[in-house]
Amino acid sequence: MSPVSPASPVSYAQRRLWFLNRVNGASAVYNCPLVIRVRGDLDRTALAAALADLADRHDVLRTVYPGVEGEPVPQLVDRRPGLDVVACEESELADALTAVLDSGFDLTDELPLRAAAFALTPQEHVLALVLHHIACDEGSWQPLLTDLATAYRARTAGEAPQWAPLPVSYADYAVWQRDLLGEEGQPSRLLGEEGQPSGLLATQLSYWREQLAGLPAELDLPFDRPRPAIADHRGDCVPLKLDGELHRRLLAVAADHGCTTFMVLQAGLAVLLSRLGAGTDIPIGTAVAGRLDDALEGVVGFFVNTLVLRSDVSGDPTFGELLHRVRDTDLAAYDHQDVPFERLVEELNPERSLARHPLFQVMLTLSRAEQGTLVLPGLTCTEEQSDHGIAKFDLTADFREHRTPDGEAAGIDGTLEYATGLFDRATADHIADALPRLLRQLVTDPERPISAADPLSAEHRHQALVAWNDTAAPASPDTIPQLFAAQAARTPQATALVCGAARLTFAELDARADLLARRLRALGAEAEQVVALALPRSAESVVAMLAVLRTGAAYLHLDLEYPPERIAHMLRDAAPVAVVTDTATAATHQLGELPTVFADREETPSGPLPDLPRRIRPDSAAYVIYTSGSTGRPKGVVTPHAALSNLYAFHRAGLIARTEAATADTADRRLRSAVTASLSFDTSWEALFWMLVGHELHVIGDETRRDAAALTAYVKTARIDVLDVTPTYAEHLLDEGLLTAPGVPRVLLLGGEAAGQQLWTRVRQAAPGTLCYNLYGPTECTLDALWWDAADSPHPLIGRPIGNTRVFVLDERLRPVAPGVPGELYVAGPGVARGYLGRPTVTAERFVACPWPAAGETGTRMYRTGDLVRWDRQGRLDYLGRVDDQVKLRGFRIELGEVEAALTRCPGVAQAAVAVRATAGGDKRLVGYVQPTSEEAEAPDARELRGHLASVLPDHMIPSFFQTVERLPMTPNGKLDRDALPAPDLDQRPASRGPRGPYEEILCDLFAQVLGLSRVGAEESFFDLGGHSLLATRLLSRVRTVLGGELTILDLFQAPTVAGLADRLTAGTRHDPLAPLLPLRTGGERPPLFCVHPAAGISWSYAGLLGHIDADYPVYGLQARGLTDAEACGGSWRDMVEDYARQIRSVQPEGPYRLIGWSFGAVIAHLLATELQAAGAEVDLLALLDGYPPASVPDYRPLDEGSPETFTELLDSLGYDLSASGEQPLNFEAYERTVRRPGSTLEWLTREEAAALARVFVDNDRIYEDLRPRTYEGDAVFFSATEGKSQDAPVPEAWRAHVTGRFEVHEIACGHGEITGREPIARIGSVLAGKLAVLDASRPAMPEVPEAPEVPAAGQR
Amino acid sequence: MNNPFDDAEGSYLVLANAEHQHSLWPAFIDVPAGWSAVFGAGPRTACLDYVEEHWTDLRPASLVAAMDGA
Repeated sequence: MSPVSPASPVSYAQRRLWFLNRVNGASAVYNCPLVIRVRGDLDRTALAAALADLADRHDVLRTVYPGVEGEPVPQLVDRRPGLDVVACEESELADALTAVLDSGFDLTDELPLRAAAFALTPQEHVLALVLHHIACDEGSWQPLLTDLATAYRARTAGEAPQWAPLPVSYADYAVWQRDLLGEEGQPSRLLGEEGQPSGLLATQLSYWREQLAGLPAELDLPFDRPRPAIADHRGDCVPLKLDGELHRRLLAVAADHGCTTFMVLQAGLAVLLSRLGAGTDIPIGTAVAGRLDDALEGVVGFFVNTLVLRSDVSGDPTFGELLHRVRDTDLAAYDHQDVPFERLVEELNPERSLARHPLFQVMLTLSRAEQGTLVLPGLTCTEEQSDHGIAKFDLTADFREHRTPDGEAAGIDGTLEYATGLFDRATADHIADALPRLLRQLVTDPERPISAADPLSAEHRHQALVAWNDTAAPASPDTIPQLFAAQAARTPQATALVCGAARLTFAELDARADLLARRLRALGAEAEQVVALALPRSAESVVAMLAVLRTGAAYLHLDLEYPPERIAHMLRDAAPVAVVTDTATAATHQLGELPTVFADREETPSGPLPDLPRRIRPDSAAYVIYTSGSTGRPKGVVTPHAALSNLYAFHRAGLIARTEAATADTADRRLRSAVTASLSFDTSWEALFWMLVGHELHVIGDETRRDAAALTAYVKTARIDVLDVTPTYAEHLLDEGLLTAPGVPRVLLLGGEAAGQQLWTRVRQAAPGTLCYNLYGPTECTLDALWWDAADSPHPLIGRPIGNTRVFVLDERLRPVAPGVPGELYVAGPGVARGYLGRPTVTAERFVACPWPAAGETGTRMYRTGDLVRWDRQGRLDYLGRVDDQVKLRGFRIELGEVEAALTRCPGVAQAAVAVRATAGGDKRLVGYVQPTSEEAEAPDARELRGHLASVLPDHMIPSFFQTVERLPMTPNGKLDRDALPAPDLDQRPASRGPRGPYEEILCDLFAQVLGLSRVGAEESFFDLGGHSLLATRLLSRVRTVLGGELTILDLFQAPTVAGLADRLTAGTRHDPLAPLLPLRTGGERPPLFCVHPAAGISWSYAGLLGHIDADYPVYGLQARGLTDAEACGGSWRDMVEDYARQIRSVQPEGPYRLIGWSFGAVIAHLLATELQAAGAEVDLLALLDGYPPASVPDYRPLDEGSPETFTELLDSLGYDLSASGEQPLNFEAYERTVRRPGSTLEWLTREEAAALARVFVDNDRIYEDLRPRTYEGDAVFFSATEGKSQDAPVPEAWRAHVTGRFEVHEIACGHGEITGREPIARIGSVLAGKLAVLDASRPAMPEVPEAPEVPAAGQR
Repeated sequence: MNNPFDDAEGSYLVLANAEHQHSLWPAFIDVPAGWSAVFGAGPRTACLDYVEEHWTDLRPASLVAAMDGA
């Protein structure tokens, strides 16, 4: 082996391929295959010799590239490629070919040419040639095949080929390339930091830098699948065909505009990609031959270069204008084609990714069809399709141009190669089909704007507009009052409505609604009037809704939690004729001077009440619902009866019928549907419809509906069948076991916001017996416009239109888009609301003329939703996001503009912006950005801002965080640049005091966990920190698990701080955190755990166990009496043990006892265990945390009170890191400073208490010396802290003599003082939880059950 | 994505149907069947002013007629 020549380089392109090959040598991505079927008398020996001749002639075919210091160094070798001759049946051929074509090359050692001849019969062979791209390119085939034929001809005649030697070799080219580009030396240096490019390279690079500035990182194409993180380069292809006629027109247009055929194809492809959703800045890659000198024509090798051609299709130019743009761009690109693509990528350094090709993802090539065929004497050679399943790019349009012998256009054909990881074949077909259709339109009239051309076929157009909208269904002729009256007549005595303790039969509900309706009628309630409902969530509120509908009027349900100003606005805006309220509400809310009906007062009418209308017009208004308004004013959506009836009919015939059929075997039991949404939302109808057909409606109270655990429990105990919630809330409910048997609901409806993949998968897996529908629809389209059964797709979809509803996905010119292409969703049909109450202009902007009315109609409208969606190929819709600044948070619809308007009106605020940001935990929050009025002015305080906003906005619209910014970021055209708003710095808040006592400590931790913050102070409000009602339920669930107790959502609303909640948790049993018996968790049904303090006397550190041990186990800490009573020091250890045993019995009179002790406490716990056993009680768990019998401790020296060693050891024993504090040696002041440092767990201790801790520590040290452990009958578990131990430190084995049973040791990698830190205690907790589970597996939980037989512990002797 | 109804610089029509419902409409798109232009083409704001002034009762004309007759 010898190098090609001294210091011979590889070319840039070769170097890149070599690196790729080193990374993945097995890949066939850079294989260049040729498959030729050869009929006739093939001389195999001659062919093999000819292949060797070929390699002799072209050095590059016998060059290998071993790595030297990580760089490829080309070496010529003496080997020649061989010819594998394999006998093969036609039926085996495909597999045999695949094996040859799909094998990679090891470029460091293997020749880059592989050849095989498959002998099908003596007269028929299939020849496969595979070259690695490092040694060839498209332009290499011609010389290669010519030379092969020449050599074969010579060898069949028994001669060596006679050919003129090549003037240059590939190696010469590589050197020349470097010289040309003005760079010196090896490529490794070039690409390193030394040396700046100069000369031609510098000039060309500077051109490309400018030309490609701001290039889109990735083209959005109508992908069928999300882009995989790593492209697998698997591909397939579909044919492309432009007939002769189109070819001729294309040539004519090219000639008229001074363009090449390629440029016209490129312009057409750019328009198509743009129309498929790729935007207006379309980079397309192409290959240029790179053989810049005639001398290179006959050389085999990798010369080809890749150029990025950037087409600007913006501004709707004519096709002619576009051609001029393309021509100018392309000509400039060709003038700068010497920069190797690899070098360009290094230079521009776009965001790199293994998922996509850099700089462009769509490739376009055009070649002449008559190139490169093998002609062997006496044989018939035909090229076979050698597609080897590879796609280097997302899409490659590879065209071949055919000409008649006299040069006339004969058509263009080729293949569209597509990445199968991204596209289905159907989509590739669609693109291949659309390109000629679009090109035909473009070249037929090049002076028309490109937007005039439509890539959609008539068939697809019909599909999108008509076929997928074929939803005609019988409409319900009846309005809601008629439907209810009919049902009440059918089942008068059945329960219609349950709300807390209230139960109403259909007859009762009917009678009450009837009476209320008549009273309202007397006050002027009639068609096209509004009646306001100001009622707490109750049976009465449902009565009132039905009553208003019966009068013919429309109801407006006021959410009483809204700020007074917002309620006042609604009342002014809707101008109701009357209001239905109750005494309590009227006393606390300002409802204006309206005629009022008190639902809770039996008022005797002064005269006969008026009759109710017999018939309600379907086009009259049924209700008014206010939604957030982008300009700062909420707007009332007016929905007619017909819209509601249509949705009712859809559910009646579909979901309800389906559920009833599935429960036919239990037909005696009517179904139960639950309203969990606010009754001021239209989604409450989702549950009400079920009542209209005779099922039982449960109106869930506020406290229950907002608490995931409580709601789940209600669903199970009340046997609710139908539940409608937002996806976010559904996640919480599933966490609480909603879909875990027993008591799983039959129907789960999701709506109000986009459902995520995780929930989708969970729902599909959790409950195969539960029907889960995803429902989509803005209020303007009456609850649901689209629906989808989660069982029918593995990923979330919003699916198909409901009955009689048509949906359109349209582009910027209101044209339907193809499947896969994002567009804006428009909805038409009876569900479309009348408009916004008293707001004609906003109505005319959003409810617009529909170009595709249903059969037999004209002049209908459609609602433009502002939602971005796309069709899939089955005619199902996928939700992508919003086109504007409307957001959905936990199902609430919020116009950021409305929040911004309110924020800007706050004092001290010059400008404001609002954005949605996700916290570390993934929870989405509103963040308010505030630009203060003047630079001197103090930034407005978050609390004040919140206060101002709370007076005008409902809770869900108030930002969780506020951030002051000097100036709001703007886009170049002066609009707010929401994406450039900084991420909020959530930890930048005024300091709040640290936790006092173990409860607060635990709660601070839980607050921080749930809110996704690093720490939370004891007096910070949960809601000020971004907590919202859904997070609140998560917090409460965690608190119950960790601390036990029964805190409710109400507790949190009334006392939203750690300090406040801790008070409530311990309410009635206010505990001194230094009391001798510290209840860390009470209320469980299992035998408690008793934890003995370490020498410092304090037991809070055991609080960390709570999160890891089931809430059914109460946990108590025993603390030194000396902490609260100085007199208690100086006693004997026997007094201490007896005292502790007494306290334990006061909580738990009888065994089995479970004892834990840390350090000094371990020895006491052991003594307690033997004490209790001596008294005849059972002790079945003894856990010792790194504490040792005194006899085992070498050179024990008692501590002196007040000595620096005392403070050092005390702090060390509590896990304080003294090396960090720098306070050495310690006096009392330094000790106190350290203990009470802000953020420390003991921060709140008074000076006296800190002193007591030190006193107790010394006293326990004195006692320790005297401790004499006895023998414990049973198993013990020991946790040994392994860090920072001296050689002669005591070992766990010292206990062996004091334990009769199994002595189990767990090593924990931490220091002695750190063993109750977060991670160590978690491990200890999980070990103990496991032991308890075994101990109590057969032990009943309820204490009143007689004691269960003793469970023998494993290993007991 | 730009919506053809939200172009502040665009040219618009005001359309009305038999129910006297009004719709803003981009001037460059064909007028759908059953609708006719009652104003424009003109600037967006002028069209909205026209709507504000002329579409004072959002009830469908057939409902108004029925209620007046009732």
